[in-house]
Amino acid sequence: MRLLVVEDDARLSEQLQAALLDAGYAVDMAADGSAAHFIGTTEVCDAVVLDLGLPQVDGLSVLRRWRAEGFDMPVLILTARDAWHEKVEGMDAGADDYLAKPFRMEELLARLRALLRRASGAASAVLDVNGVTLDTRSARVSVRGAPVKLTGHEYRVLSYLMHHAGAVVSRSELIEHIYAQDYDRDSNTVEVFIRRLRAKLGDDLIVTERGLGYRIGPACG
Amino acid sequence: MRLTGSLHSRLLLGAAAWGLLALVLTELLLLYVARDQLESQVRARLSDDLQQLLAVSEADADGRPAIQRELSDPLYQRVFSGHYWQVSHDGETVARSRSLWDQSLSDAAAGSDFVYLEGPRGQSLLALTRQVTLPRLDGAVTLTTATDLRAVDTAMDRFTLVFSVGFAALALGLLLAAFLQVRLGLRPLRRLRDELASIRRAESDTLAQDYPSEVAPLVADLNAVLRDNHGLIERARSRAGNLAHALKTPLSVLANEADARDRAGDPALASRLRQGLDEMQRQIDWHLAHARIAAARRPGMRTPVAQVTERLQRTLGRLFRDRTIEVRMDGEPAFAGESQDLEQMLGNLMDNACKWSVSRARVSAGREQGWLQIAVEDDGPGLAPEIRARALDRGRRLDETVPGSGLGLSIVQELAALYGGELRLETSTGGGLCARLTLPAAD
Repeated sequence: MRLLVVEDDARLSEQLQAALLDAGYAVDMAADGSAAHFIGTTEVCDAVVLDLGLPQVDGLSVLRRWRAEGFDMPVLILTARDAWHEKVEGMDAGADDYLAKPFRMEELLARLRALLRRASGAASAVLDVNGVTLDTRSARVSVRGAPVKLTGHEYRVLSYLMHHAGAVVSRSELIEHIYAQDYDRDSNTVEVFIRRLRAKLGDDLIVTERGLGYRIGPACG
Repeated sequence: MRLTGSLHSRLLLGAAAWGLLALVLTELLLLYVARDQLESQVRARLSDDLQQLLAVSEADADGRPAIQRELSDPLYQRVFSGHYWQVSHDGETVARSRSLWDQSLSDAAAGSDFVYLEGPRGQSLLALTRQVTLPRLDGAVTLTTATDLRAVDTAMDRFTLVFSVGFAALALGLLLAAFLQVRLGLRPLRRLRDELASIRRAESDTLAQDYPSEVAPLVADLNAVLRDNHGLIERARSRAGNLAHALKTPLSVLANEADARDRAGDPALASRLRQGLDEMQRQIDWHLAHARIAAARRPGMRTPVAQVTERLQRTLGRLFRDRTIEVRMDGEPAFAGESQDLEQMLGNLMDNACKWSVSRARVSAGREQGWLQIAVEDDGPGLAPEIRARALDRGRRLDETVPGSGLGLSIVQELAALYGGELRLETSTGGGLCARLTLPAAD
C-alpha cells in the first residue's frame, strides 16, 4: 500500500515516514500544498495523510482540488485545528477522517488501516485468504498459524494483493503501489517478490493470470 | 450635590439663578411704575385743588388772607378724612380745611414742590405747597393741599400681593420649563450612557450614529476607540489560538520521541516525558477552548439548532460510518447565541455519544418554558451516578482507551454556564448516557 504524507514540519514528517515505513507502507512525502497536489494527481496513492496548515497552498484547497478533479483516495486530515467548525469544513471538503494534533502514532496507524480497509471493502483488520492471514495492525503474516517473516517489499506486495483479493492486479499497478516516488523501479523485481512469496507462503496462494497480472483468492466479477 | 458633579444641576442652577433675579427685578420695576402712576394721579389732583384754592384766596378787608368759599370736595369737610388744605401767612395758619380740625400742616418745606409730610394722626401725606402773592397783601401766602397716601399704599399692597403671587407662579413655571429643557437637552448623554452600558454587557459592538451634532464627534471618537479595542481583542484572541496551534506540532514530535525512547528501552524517561507532554496538552486545550469561546449573548442573536445538528450529523456520519445518528426536532428550536459555541457544545456531546454508542446516537431538541432543551443520548454502557459527577471535572478522562483529551464535557458545561444554562448527565431509557443541555432559546 502506498501513502502520501503531506506535512510541512520536517521533524514530524520524518517521524511519520519512519513509522509508516515500519508499518509496511510505501510512503511519498510532500512538504507544501503544490507539491502535494502534484504528487496526488500524478502518482498512485492508496491514502493521504494531510496537514492543513501548509505553505503556499493550504491543505483544504489541495483536498478540494483533488475532489473536484475526481481523485477519490481516502484522505485523513491531520491538523492542530480541532474546533468543530474546522472539522465540519474539513469533512465537507472531502476528507474521510480527521485527527487532531497532538496525536499518538498508534491512533494514526489504526485510522489509516480503517480507511484502507474501508476503501477495499474489507470488514476486518485481519485479512485471511486460503489459510494465509495478514494482520494489518501489526503487519504480521502467518500461514495456518505459523508466523512468516517477510521483507518490506514482500509485505507490500502481499498486502496489496490481499486487500484486493479476487481481483487481477497488473504488474505495473503493483509497482505503483509498492514503491514510493523516488525508488528506482524495475518491473522484473515484482517477479522476484512473487517468487519469494510463493516460496514462503506456498505455491497456490498467488495465481498468475497470463498477460494480465496476479490474483489472490477465487476470481470474482 | 456638588456643582461640578452634574451637568444637570449646573444648567438647572444657572437657569434658576438668572430667572429668579430677572423676575425679582421685573417685579420691583413694575411696582415702582405702578406707584409712580398712582401717585401721579394724586399729584394731578393736588395740583387742581391748589389752583382752586388759589382762585378762592384773596385778601379781606383787614388785609389778611381769607377764603371766599370752601373747596367743593366734601372730603375736605370730613374731619381727618385724609384730604387737607391750608393757607398760611407769615408762619401763621390763616385758613384750613374743616378736615384738619385744629391741626395744621407743617410748612417747613414751603416753596418746594411736592413733599412728603406727616399729617394729623401720623398719616403719611403727599403735599403740594406753593407760595403766592395776593393783591393787596404784603408778603407771600403759602397754599398747601395734601392727601393721605393710605389709598395708594393699600393699592400698592394689593399690587405687591398680586404681582408676587403671579411672579412666583411664573418662576415655578420657568423652573419647570428649565428642568424639562435640561432633561430633554441632556437626553442624548443619558442615551449614550445606556448604550455604553449595553456595550459593557457585550450586547452591542458600537454606538448608534444618530446623535445631535454637539455629541456626535464624541460618539464618533468613542466608536473609534471601541473598534480599536475590538480589533485588539480579536488579534489577541487569534494570537492565543495561533500560539496554541503552533505548539501542537512540536508536541506531536515530542510525543513520538517519547514513544521511540520507550521502544529503545528507556520507559522511565518516556513516562516522564509523556506526563509533561500530557500536562502541556491539557493546558493548551483548556486555554484554546476558552480563547475560542465567543459566549456573547446579544439581543437578536439566533442560531437554528437544526442548522448546527445537520452539519454535525453530516460530519460525524462520515467519521463514524457504522453508527446511526438520529435527529429529532420539536418545532424549529433556536439558540440565542453564537453558532460556533452551539456547534462546539453539540459537537462534543454528539462525538461522545458516537464514541460510546453501540450502534446509534440520538439528538432531540425542543423548547420548554422559554428554554432550549437538547438531549444527546447513546445506546452505550452509560455511566454510574457517582462517576457522572466526576465526568464533568476539568480534563478528566473516564476511559483512556477512547481517544479524546477528556476536556469535552467540562468545556460544554462551562460554555452552557456562560450562557446561563446548564449541562446534566442522566441515564437514557436504553441504559446509555443522556446528556441534557439547557440553553437560552431564541424566538
